[in-house]
Amino acid sequence: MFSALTYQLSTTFLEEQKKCEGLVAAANMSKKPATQPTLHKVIMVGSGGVGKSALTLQFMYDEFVEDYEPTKADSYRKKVVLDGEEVQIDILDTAGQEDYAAIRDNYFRSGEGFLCVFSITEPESFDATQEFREQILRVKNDENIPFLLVGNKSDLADKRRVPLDACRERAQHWQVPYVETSAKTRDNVDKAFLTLIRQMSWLKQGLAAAEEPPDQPSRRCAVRCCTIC
Amino acid sequence: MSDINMEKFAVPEFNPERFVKELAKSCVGGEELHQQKEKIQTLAEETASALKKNVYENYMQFIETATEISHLEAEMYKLSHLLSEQRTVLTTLSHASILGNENTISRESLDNHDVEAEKAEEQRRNKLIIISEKVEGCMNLLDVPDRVLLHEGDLLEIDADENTALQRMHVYLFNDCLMLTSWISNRRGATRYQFQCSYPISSLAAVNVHDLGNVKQAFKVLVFPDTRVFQCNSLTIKKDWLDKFELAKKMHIEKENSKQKKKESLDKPKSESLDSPSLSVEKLPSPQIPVLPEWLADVTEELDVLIVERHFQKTYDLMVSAQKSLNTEEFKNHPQRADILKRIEQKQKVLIEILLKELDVTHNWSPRGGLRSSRHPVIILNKFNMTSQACELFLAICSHTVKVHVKGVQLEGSINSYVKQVGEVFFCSLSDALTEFITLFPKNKISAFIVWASMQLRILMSQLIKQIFTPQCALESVLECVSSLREQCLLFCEFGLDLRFQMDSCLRSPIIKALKEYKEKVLDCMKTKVSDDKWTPINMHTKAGVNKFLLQMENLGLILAKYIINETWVDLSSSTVWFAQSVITVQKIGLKLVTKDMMDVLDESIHAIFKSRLMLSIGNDSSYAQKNFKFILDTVMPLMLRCYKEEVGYDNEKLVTLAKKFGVNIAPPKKSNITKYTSNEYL
Ligand SMILES: Nc1nc2c(ncn2[C@@H]2O[C@H](COP(=O)(O)OP(=O)(O)O)[C@@H](O)[C@H]2O)c(=O)[nH]1
Ligand SMILES: [Mg+2]
Repeated sequence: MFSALTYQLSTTFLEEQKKCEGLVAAANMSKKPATQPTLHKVIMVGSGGVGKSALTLQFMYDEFVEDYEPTKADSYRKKVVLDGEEVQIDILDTAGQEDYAAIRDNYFRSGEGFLCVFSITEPESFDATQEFREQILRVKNDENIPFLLVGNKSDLADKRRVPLDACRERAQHWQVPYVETSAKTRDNVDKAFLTLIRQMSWLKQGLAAAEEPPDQPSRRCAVRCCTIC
Repeated sequence: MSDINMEKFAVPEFNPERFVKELAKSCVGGEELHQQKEKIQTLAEETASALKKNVYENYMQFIETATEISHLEAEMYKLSHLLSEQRTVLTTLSHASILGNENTISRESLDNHDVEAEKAEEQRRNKLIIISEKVEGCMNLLDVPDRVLLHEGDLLEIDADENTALQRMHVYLFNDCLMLTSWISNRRGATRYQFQCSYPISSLAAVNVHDLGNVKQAFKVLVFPDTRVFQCNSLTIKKDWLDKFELAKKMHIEKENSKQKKKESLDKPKSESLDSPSLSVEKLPSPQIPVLPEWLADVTEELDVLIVERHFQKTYDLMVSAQKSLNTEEFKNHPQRADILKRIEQKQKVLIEILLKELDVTHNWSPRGGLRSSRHPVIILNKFNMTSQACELFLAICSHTVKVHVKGVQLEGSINSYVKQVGEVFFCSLSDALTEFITLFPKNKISAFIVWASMQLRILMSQLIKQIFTPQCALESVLECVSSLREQCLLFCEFGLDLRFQMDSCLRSPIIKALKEYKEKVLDCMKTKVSDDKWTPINMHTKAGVNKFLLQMENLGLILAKYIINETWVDLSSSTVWFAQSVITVQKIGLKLVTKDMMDVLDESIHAIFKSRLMLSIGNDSSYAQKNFKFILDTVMPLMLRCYKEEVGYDNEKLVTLAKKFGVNIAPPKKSNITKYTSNEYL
């Protein structure tokens, strides 16, 4: 009786296995060529509660989610049209403030661009951006990594506790753009993401170009200009 | 001529040819031979049908066993899961305690269970060896001393850029690394998978994939510079994987931390003085700040461990004592106090969440643990002031167990025995739940239980009523079912909870309906019976038949000995006997079935049946018919009136009026005890 059972199980199992192989083969067949748009990998960093998830969800789905359950790390993907060209953006929304720094490294390594978020109502979160910046530079080992400083919750102007000057000063010091957003009103949300993607896109094209004809003058200047507000 | 039977064929040395020859020899003529052949044929048919039946029975048994096995398998899987988790915790703990961490619980258990630890170690090695055998080109799994398997499973790898399926993988997660293997399509021997690569746990990050076009239920593993995307078969599987990654990381961090600590303690061996506060006060630069004892400083880590180990009560106790200590004068102004308290609060949230999950029937709750398994979570949740939630979840578990128990009763045999069993099982479950409930919850919660219990009863009754009150079900059988349920309900009152009212209110409308239907049926039959009646006495043929008849009538309260004529004849017509039986049955059973509020329905039914019979007699001049009519008026009617009054305590007004109208001489109203005498006289 038992052997009959096992037999039955193993046959269904084999059948499934076959189906699965077929699937994989079919998938492989249909795979090429259909060139996908360029993929840009963005990572959201910043202290807990500053609105990283809210920004991500607003950008992805055009909605403000009041209480998003903090997970360790969530990834999202979206196609956007940037300056007339379709690109893909892969967003990694980390929760990570209590994570062990060494493990955070593993997330940061995969990023090509960073949105470093703080809340303008919370000076501690502004202070923390310093640490995040240092860690990212250490992990990526690249001073020119696309990076955007984001002051979120701009709708709470009456509760503002981080002066605008301090924000701009820090961005200037780092030579990165500064954007103030509100995930609640969607103010500047697209702008923040698109500015970063544009940086990444330029950098990639610049690199590609740099490999063929040496030297592409526009790059450095175009990326690190002013603070946008 | 030989007799043909089974034994002849069953002997091992049976030879068909010889048997036929002998048969042919012994038979006289073709006729007899033919008969023998037929006999053999029927025998063959019988055997074939017996065989069929056996096969069927075996088949049913097979199915039952198979489901039982799959149950067991699930249980075993769960157990092994728990065990492996516990083992990993133990290993980390043993590691920690060797390094000098103060951890009394683990030390005790480790010392006490040396042999078990050895066994566990052997099992661990065996498991790893089995994995090595399954994976072709497997890495050396035994090179790391405390490597354990945390999770494994089949996953479909997805191309991260193209969102298309790549290959079928079998993935192993150990506490220190992730091993990826692919399926071997034409597998030979024990090997099933092909080793692909392994990543140390410290180098990888797991990411929950929320949105990746049409790819659902996926997660990513980031291992610079690779990104590998895997698709799971279900959300729960994915969640399981992510949880396990989390666990692996936590264990890794813990290990790193303890290594760190070991280094630190080696660096400065003078730290012993920390144990005695008086000494340290002198030595430390700021003497007004007392040093936290180690257990208090490390309390959050310890809480983590206890939670993973599922020592929920201990977790709670530790939380409380830590909070208490931190609120004493000594530590009131300690700089770390607020921080630790905050972290304890976080752990409390985690604990509450886990406990709520433990109690959630919809969340892998196993009925085999019984209600008792929910005791600990409930008690702790009560202490956290979560009584209402705990109560709700507990009652949901109770609902589940009640349902399972009731479902367990097989519908076989008569409906009566089924209903009786269901009732017993149901009220048993209720009383179990109630006993448990009273020990777990404060008095003011009992109302929640009452509401729940009446709800359960209503659910049960609605199911049972469908089965009891079918059109073809006899009134007697309905009564038997209803009585057994009422009896159970009455017994349950002893537990201090009276559900009789709820039960009766459920029964009300089906009983009324049944009575009305019965009435209609009798009225329909009566017309044909009376008009077809030949108006002659009934012939019972035998003495035994007569006795049986008399006994039946006596059970209804009718003594008919004087109506027997010529030994075997009953001097009443068949429609009359039928009518007497029907109408008395309605009253007899009806009186037991109905509650006070349904008396009018019963009265009306009896009245309608009786009246209809009396109306049919008018105009029938045959003298025998008139004799029967007289019997109905003079014997059946008074009997019914008397029985009614005895049972209820007052007269059936409607029937009395009817009787008067047809000139029945009713005894003048006497006191009720006198009526009783008369009835005894009669019997
Ligand atoms: N008023 C306001 N609230 C915000 C804004 N962005 C986020 N929040 C709120 O801040 C809290 C934390 O947001 P969340 O996205 O979870 O932060 P995260 O931990 O960085 O992911 C939530 O209650 C959000 O509703 C914003 O722009 N304006
Ligand atoms: Mg978040």
